[in-house]
Amino acid sequence: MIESLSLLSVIIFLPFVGMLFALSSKSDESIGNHNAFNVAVFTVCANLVLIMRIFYNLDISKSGLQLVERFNWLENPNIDIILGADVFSVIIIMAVHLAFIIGLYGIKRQPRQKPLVVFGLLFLSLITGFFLAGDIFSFYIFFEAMLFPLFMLIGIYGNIRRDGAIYRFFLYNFLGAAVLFLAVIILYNHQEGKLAISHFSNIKIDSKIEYFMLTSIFISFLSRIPIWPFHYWISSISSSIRNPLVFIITNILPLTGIYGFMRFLPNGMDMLSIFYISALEIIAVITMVFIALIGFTNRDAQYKFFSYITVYYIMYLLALLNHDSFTEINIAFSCFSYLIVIAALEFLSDYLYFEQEEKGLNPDGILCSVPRISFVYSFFILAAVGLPVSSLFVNNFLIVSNLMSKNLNIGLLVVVSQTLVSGALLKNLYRLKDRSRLNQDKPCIGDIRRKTYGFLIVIMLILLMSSFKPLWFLEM
Amino acid sequence: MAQQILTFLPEFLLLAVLPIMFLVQRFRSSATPKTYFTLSRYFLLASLVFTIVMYQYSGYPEYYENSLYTSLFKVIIYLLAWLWFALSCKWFLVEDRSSLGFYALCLVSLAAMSVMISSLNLGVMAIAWLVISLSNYFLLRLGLEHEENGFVEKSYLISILFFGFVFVAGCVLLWQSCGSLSYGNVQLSLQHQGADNLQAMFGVGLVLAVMLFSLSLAPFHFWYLDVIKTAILPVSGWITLIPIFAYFASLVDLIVNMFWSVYPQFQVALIAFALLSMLIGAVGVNGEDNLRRYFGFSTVFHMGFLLISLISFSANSVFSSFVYLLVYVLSMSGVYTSLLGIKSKGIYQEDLPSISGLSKLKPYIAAALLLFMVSLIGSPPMLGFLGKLSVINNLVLEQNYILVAAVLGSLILISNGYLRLVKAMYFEPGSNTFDRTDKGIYIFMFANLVVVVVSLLHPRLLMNDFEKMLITVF
Repeated sequence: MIESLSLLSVIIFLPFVGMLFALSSKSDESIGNHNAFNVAVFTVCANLVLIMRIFYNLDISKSGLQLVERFNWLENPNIDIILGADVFSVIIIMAVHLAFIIGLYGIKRQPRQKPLVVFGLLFLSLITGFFLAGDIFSFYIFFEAMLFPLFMLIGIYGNIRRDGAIYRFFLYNFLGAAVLFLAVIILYNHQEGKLAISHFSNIKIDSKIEYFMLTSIFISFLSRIPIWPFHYWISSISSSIRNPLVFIITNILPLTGIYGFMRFLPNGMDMLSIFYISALEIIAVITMVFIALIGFTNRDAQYKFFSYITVYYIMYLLALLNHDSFTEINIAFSCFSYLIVIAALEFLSDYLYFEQEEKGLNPDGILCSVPRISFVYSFFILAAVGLPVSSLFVNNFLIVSNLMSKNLNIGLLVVVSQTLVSGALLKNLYRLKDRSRLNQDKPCIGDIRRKTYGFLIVIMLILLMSSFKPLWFLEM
Repeated sequence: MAQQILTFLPEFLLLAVLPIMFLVQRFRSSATPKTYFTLSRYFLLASLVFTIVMYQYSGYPEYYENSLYTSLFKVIIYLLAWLWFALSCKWFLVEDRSSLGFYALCLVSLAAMSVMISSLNLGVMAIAWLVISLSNYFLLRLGLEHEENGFVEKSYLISILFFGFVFVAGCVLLWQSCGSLSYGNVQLSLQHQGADNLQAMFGVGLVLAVMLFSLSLAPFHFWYLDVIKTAILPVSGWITLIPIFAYFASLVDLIVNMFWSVYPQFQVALIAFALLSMLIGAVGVNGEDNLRRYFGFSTVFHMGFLLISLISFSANSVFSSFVYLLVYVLSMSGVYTSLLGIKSKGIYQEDLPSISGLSKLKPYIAAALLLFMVSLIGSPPMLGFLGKLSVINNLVLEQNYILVAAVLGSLILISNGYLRLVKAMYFEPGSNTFDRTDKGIYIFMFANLVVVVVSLLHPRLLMNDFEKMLITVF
C-alpha cells in the first residue's frame, strides 16, 4: 500500500500541512499551551518515519534519481514538475529533519513560538522539496521560495534590525535567485523544455550561453555560501541570533548552495569552467583560512562556532569541485553528522548563554558543576573536531585525502583551517570546564532536565552508530 | 432587429437598475447600503449570464462585436466588480453613508467598459472612454469632504478633459487620413499608406497616449496617485482593480486589429514608457509612506511590467501579459481587502508607521498582506511567480535580454520597497491598537488566498481555456 503513495510529495506536503495546523492552533506559552510546538514535533517525527520508508524503497547501489514522480504543471510554457531521490538527497533531508527537531527542542521554553514554528515548518517543507527536485524548474522554485520563511525568521528573531544585515541577506539572495531564474529559463528554452536535473552537468551548450550559465550558477549559489564577498550577511546573522531553531535554519541555507554546485557544475572541463573553478578555489581557500584565523583568535563563542561551520562548508565545496561520486557520498555521510552536531551544539550553547544571562555569570568554568550538560557538550565538541564518535571522523578523512590527492596545497590549507577551528572549539570547551576560573561565590547554572538529557543521549547514539556504518538504520 | 437589440442586453441590464435605485431612494425610507448592493448584485449577475449566453452574437458588427476574447474580459470584470461591490458594502455600512452614488456610477462605468471592450469603431470607443473617465471623476467626488482635495478633483477633471480632447483629436486625424473610424477600414488604410502619412501617424500616437494615460503609465501617471489617495477606499479599489481590464483589452484590440502595420514605429516609445513606469514605480514604493500612494506606485510599476511583456503583441506575449494582469489584480484585490480590515479608533489606517506591529494584533490580516506582497514580487510559491515566469519566458523567447535584465533589476528594487511594509508589520514594535475586523473581510481574504493557491497548484485548470479565448483577438 505504502509503495503506491507518492512518498516524495507526501514528505514535502506534510510539513506544509503541519504549518497550516500550527497557524490555526491556539498557542499561549505563558499558560503552558504549546499547541503549535506539539504540532511541529509530531509533523517532523511523522516525516522522519516516511523518510526512513523512502530509504527502504531506494536501491542504494544505484546512482541517479529514483522513485521519480512527475506532475504536468503548465502547458504554456510546458513545464513538468519532477521529483526524485538519491542516497545523497535523502541522507541530507534526514539530517535536516533531525537538526530541526533539535532546534525545536531548543525553543520549547521560549516565548512567541507560533510564528517560529509556522515559518520553520514552511522552510522545512520547501527545503525538502529543494533536495528532491528532479528538474531545473522545481529546483529553482524551491531554491527561491525557501528565502521567504527564512527572511521572516531572521527578521523576527534575528535582533539585527540596526546593522542592515537583513537587507544584505535580501539583496544577495534575491539577486542570486533572479540570476538563477534567468539561467533556468534560457536553458529551458535552449533544451526545448526537457531538462532533468541529473543531466544538467552533461548538456552541451554554445559558448555564449555557457559563459552566462556559469556566471549565473556561480553568483546564485555563492550568494548562499559564506564566501567573500557574500559572507557578511551570514556572519552577522549567525553571531547575533540567540534562537537555536533560527540559527540552525540559517546555517542549513549554505548547504543549498553547495548542493546547487554539485548538481549544476559541468562535467566536462573546458577553459571557461577551469577559469571559474580556479577562481572559486582561490576565493574559497582565502576565505576559509581567514575565517578560521578570526575564529581562533575571537573570544566570542558564537563567532567561533560560525567559523567552524564556514570552514566545513568550504571544505565540502572544494571537495565537490572535483566531481567525484565517491567524494559526493562521503560528503553526504559527513554532512549527516555535521548538521546534527552543529544543531546540538547550538542548542546547548544557547542554553548556557541564557543561563549565564539570567544569573549574571561569566562563562569561565560553568560546566564544572553541571555533569549532564558537561558530558553531552564535551561529546558534541569532540564529535565536531573529528574524533571517532561520529561519521565525521572517517568521512572527513576520506574527503581531505581525496582533496590532497587532487591538489596538495588546497588539502593542506583545509587541514590547517580545520585544525584552527577545532582548536578554537576545544579552547572554548576548556574555558567552560576550567574549574580554577570558577567563581565560587556566585550561584551555579542549572543542569539540563533528565528528559532533555535522554533526548541528547539518543542523538549521541545516532552519531555513534553513524561512525560505524553510515546507513546502519537500513539493517534494523 | 430584435436580435440586434438583444445583443445589448447585458449593458442594458446594467443601466436598467439605475431608475430602480432612484425609485428606492425616493420611496423607501430605510434604504441601507445593502439595498443598493443587493440591487446591483442581481442586475450584475443577470448581465453576466447574458454576456455568457451571447458571447458570439454581434448586433452591429461595424461598431460592436462580441467574441470569446471580449466575453472573457467582460466576465472577469463582472466577477471582480461583484467582489468589490460586496466589500465596498461593508465599508459603507461601517461608515454609515449612502452607497447609491457609488453603485450607480460603477454600473454606468461597467456598461461603458463593456461597450469599450467590444467596440470596433474608434468613435464608439472614445465615447465609452469618456463615460468611464467621467464616472471615475464623479466617483472621486463622493469622498471629497476636505477643501484641499478640491485641487485633486479639479486637476483630474482637467486631465480627463485634456485627454478626451486628445482622443477626439486623434480620431479626427485618423478619420481625415483614412476616411473612417472603423477598425477594419483604418487598418487597411494604414497598411496602404504605411508610416509616410504623418497625419495618420500623429492620430495613432494620440490615441495610444490616451491608452497609456488610462493605464496610468509614466509619464501619464500623475493623476492616478493623487486620485487613489484622495478618493474613498471603495473608489480607490475600484479604479485600481476594474477598469484596467477594459483598457488592457482595448489596447490589445487597437494595436492588433487597427494599428498593426504602423505599430513598429511606436514600439521603442512604448518600451521607454514601460521602463520609465517601472523605474518610477519601484523608486516610489521605496520612498512613499502613505499606503494608498505606496500601492499606487506599485500599480505604476506593474503596469510598466505589463506593457513590457505585451510589447511584441504576439499571441504568446498577449497571453503572458494577461496572466500577469490576472495575477496582479488578484494580489491587489487581496491588498485592498486587507486595507479594509485595518482600522484604528474608527479610522482606516493609511500610513506605513501606523501599521507597525500589525502581525501581533491582527496576525491573519498581516499574514494575508504578507502573502499578497510576496505574490506581487513574483516570488514562488505564490501565484505571482506564474505571472513573472510567463513574462520572462516570453521575453527570453523574443531574445529581449536587455529588457529581461531591466525587468529583473527593477523587480529587486521594488521588492526592497515591499520589504518596508513587511518590516513595519512584522519586525517593528507597534503602539497602535486596531478595531475589530468584520468577519466578511476574513472570508474574502481567505477566498482570495484559496483562488491564489489553487491557481498556482493547478494553473492548467483555467489557463488553457484562457489562452484559446485570447487568441481569438488575432
